[in-house]
Amino acid sequence: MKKEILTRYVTQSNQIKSSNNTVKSSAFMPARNGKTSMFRINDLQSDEIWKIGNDVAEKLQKHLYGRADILETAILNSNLQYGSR
Amino acid sequence: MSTAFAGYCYTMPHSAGLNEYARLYENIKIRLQEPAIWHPLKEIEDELNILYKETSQDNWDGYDACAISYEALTEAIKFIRLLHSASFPIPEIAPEPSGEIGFEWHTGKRMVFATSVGGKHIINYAGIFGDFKTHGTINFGETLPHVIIVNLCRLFNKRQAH
Repeated sequence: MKKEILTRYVTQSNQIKSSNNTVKSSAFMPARNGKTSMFRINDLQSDEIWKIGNDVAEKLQKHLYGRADILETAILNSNLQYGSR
Repeated sequence: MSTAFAGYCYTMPHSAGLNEYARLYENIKIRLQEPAIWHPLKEIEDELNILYKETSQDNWDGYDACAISYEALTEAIKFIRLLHSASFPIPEIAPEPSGEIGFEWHTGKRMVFATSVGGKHIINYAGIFGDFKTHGTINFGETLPHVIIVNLCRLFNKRQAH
């Protein structure tokens, strides 16, 4: 069975560790409403994934610094609720 | 392809806390197992000042976050200087949507300690040290609170010489 991959778009420079260009844990912290947006990217080409990211950043009026991909199972194994909106 | 454009989110249940997020980060494996790195003090203070510039207005995250106040910045710098003078590793820093500045140290699987300050002379803290968990709030004056020292010593397996 194919593993579901989700991506989190990074729109704040303070969510990136400059020392090694990896993402900080804070990139996954929820907003004040207790939610964090993720996007399903299985079966998408790289340019399509980045296009979504650019759309997200534009909507937020932010710069797109990068993205962090994680497995859906990482969320499910952490007892976090997950679903579409 | 259209389904991929649907936004997904995960939600923090009211009962969830640091434990759930620690588990998530362990699964994500974004190099959080690395020991905290010793940053020169100037570098970390510059990082805090940049963070403040980026987050001193409400809605800095695009999701209704509270602005980081100047008081929070000065308290964060004081906290970092106290850590440095006590020879503790400088943590990873991050703004929090509540308007506080957060600090995190990870030394391994289920070994994490996090604190935050918001310019109100208190420190919120939470830690997971294997099977042991702790959390609380402590007044923050001119010295590093004892409970913070104890927990950092626990995390870094140091004797309390501070």
